[in-house]
Amino acid sequence: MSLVFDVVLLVLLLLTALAVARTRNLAGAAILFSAYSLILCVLWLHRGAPDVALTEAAVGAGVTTFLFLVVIARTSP
Amino acid sequence: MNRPLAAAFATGLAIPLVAAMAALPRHGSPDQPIHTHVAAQYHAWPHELGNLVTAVLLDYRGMDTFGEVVVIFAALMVVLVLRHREEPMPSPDPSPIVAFIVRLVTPFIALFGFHVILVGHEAPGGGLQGAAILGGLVLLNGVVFGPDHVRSLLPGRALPWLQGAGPLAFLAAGVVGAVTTGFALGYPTHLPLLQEAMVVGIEFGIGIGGALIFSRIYLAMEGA
Repeated sequence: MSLVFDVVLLVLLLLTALAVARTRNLAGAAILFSAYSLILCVLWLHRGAPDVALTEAAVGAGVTTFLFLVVIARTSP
Repeated sequence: MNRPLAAAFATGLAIPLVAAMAALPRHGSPDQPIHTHVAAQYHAWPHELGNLVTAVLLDYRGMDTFGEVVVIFAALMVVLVLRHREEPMPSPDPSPIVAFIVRLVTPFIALFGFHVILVGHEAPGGGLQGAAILGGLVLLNGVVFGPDHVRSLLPGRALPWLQGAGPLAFLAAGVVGAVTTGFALGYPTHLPLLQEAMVVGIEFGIGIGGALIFSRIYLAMEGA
């Protein structure tokens, strides 16, 4: 049961990563990267690492998403 | 450079590396020194904290965390010294839905961020997680409402001291530890209340200092 959970989440992780690499819209890629980080956070929790999961969610879905949006806003014409 | 010589050098470097990788013990096997020696010691030594991760980060490897906090502070100093004075972007015009939701959610996120900092010595959490949450909150408000709105949120005159709150908290804890136990950054297990106060003080310092470092780097990026 937990193996199925792991496999499904890993497949979703791969699909999200491929989507980030193939998206044309930069802001959409930043949001997809945030979704990637949230899926990874659930995987960390499943491994039994709550501190790492909390850090991954705060940094990945929080700070780096906002930083990407700031940089995209600054560098797009 | 001579191509065959470079190829021979690279191959000669790769062969011992691959042999060393193959000779490593199997991943996760319970008879490695990390499990029989290091982790066993961590379990044997007394530490009054409920969260073993925090105990490793702040107690057994406290000097490493001290170094990392100083490195993050140094990164902020480098950014502030080297920043390029470009004109700030015009203030963004957020849609009413986004503005409403961000204003509604900000106090709850702030409360949760402080909670994560203060509860970090007993439950999952701690200084770095709370700093990321609070710093991310400041960045969110900056992205939606503009950096001028955010600059009014930061403390004014105490800002330089609060930015360095991480290293300063570690220094204070080191002095207190040296006075009470004779080791720098040693936690006095015979005074449990003081030990808990030291750990919470360090967590708070890392949390507030880290959040302010995030905010200052963002403001430097926006030319403020």
